[in-house]
Amino acid sequence: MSIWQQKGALALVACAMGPWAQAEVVSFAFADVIKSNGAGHIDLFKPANKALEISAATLEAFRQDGAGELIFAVDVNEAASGSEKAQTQGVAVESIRLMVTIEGETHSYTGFRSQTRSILQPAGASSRAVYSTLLGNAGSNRVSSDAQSAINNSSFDATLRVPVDRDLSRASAISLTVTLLSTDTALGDPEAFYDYSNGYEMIALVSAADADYLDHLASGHEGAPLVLLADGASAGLSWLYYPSAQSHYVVSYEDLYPQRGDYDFNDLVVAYQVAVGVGENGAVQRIEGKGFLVARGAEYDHQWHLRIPMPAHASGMASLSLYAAGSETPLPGFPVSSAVNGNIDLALFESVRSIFRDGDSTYVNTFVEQSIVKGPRFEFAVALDTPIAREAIGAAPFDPYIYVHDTGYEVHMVGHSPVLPYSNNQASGQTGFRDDQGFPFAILIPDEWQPPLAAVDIGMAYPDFMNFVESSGTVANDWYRQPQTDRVKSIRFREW
Amino acid sequence: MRLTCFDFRFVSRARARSARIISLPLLLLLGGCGGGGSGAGPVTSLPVPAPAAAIQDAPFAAQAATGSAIAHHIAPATFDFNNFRTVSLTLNLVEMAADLAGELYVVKVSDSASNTLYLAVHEVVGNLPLELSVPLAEQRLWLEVYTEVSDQGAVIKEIIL
Repeated sequence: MSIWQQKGALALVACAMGPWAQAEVVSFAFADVIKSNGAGHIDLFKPANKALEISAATLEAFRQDGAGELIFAVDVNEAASGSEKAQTQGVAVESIRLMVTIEGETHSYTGFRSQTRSILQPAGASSRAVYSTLLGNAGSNRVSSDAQSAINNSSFDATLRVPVDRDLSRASAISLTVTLLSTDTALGDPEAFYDYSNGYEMIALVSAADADYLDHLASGHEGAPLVLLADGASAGLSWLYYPSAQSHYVVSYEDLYPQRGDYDFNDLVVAYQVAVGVGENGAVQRIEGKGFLVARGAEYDHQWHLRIPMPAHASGMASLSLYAAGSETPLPGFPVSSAVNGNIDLALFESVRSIFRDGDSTYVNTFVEQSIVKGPRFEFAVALDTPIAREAIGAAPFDPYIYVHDTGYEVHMVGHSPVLPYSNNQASGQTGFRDDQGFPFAILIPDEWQPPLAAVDIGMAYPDFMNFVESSGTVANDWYRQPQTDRVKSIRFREW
Repeated sequence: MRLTCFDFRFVSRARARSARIISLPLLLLLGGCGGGGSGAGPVTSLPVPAPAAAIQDAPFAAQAATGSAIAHHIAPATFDFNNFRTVSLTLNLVEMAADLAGELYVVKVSDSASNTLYLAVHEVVGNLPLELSVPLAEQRLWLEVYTEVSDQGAVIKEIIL
């Protein structure tokens, strides 16, 4: 007997035990989903597994198990864009309506509760209000105490509880209509975070035990912005976003260090952002980040690091995941965890050449004739054992650097020093990161910038660059917004 | 390099339809601003051997030759090439919050493109020190305070950098 057949058998057992029986309930998913337009019309008699038979008595058993509530679980399935990540995603609920038809009479229930809320402005509205939210992540490692539960190995996240004061055992039709809130995303976060922006959200009817498990799991809660608990208290951290929740730092390197090279600044191009979570006492409890590879115009292989200076007593645990472009399933071997003691130095891409290619070419997104290849991305989170004062932590944009496998040199932005004991920098006396004309080997730029085409000097691609440099940044500080369009590779990576 | 470079104004934020603009004395306490990073590091330019192997050969059609814009220039020795600056603010939110009634106060700082730089919920508001990272080309930020009470709108203030 397959697992699904076993589940079907149990559901039938619940039916056979009659309307007042406290039958065993086994969580199951519905065939209907909340669609990408934010609306879901769920027929409670239609399980995803057609081998199951869901009767009115079965649903009544769930209601009794939930102490008078039908408890639904939602698989939050949002795009990992903006401040949403594979590890933290959210939607808001505008309304729900449970319609129950018993002996020809239809009853409507609109009351519900979820574990979290936020204060949001709907699209087209002029003010904010409190809305229930559903938080989650892209994980699919749920484990139920019931081996036959549909929760097992699923990615169900948040619960939605609907009080029902009628016996459902004689119901002829029961449906749940869910409408997600269309938020005013133009306002940035929190509205941008709690929008619905991706494919469907699966929904299940769950046992009280599975609901308790999911509630305690609280998936996606830690990194979400503006989280209020159901009792109205604030549950979340304050978040400082570097440079912001919707934009990235772009760091670009010349990898022939200590030789200048062609100065096209596309040997490696990485976009990243960091969020620092601060508690009520002003101390940092959590640091999260994400980013992706934008372009690579090199034969050499690079290791890309993000180093965040921390006090020596800092300790915690770091978790890192890599994802193929467009995927929310970590690559094999991820996530990986490691202890943090003192400075945080994360090797977020160990070997860029091996994971970022354009067919057989190691050059990606650097030539006119190349089609755009979306780069793999990373997410990391560092949970500190003890909160650390913000001023004790290095300042943004921190220290993003490469280690060039082929030459043994590390390359940092101006103002930083080599840090790797095994690099050639110290041994060869190469500890500064300017060339003999004072130019850097790494620059940090807002994400409106587009990398120059291969072999095109950055000053030729951006006519104002030299004005910016020679004025020490006092004029033409938006030089990166005015490229010679035929000399840069147009990559719409802000939308990745 | 740290500069005193702020000018705080109370003006309407056109895109925030619910904004109520306060006409109070300046509520922000200037903390300062300056270039990011720690300034120029030691400049070391030593003769070095050539790379071990020929590299960077274009696998695709060669680009049009463009020459070099920087070949005959010397960069200012103290310039750090940073396109971002660190902005340190101390926000005194007491008076802004006093204009609103609620149990939770949402404090948000965003830039002119509505990108969110800071987002928090506070039960008590007071002096709030923040260190932000802002593109040099960004001219202003927006400070917004609102509560869970929906009909109060938000108190919004423009911060001129």
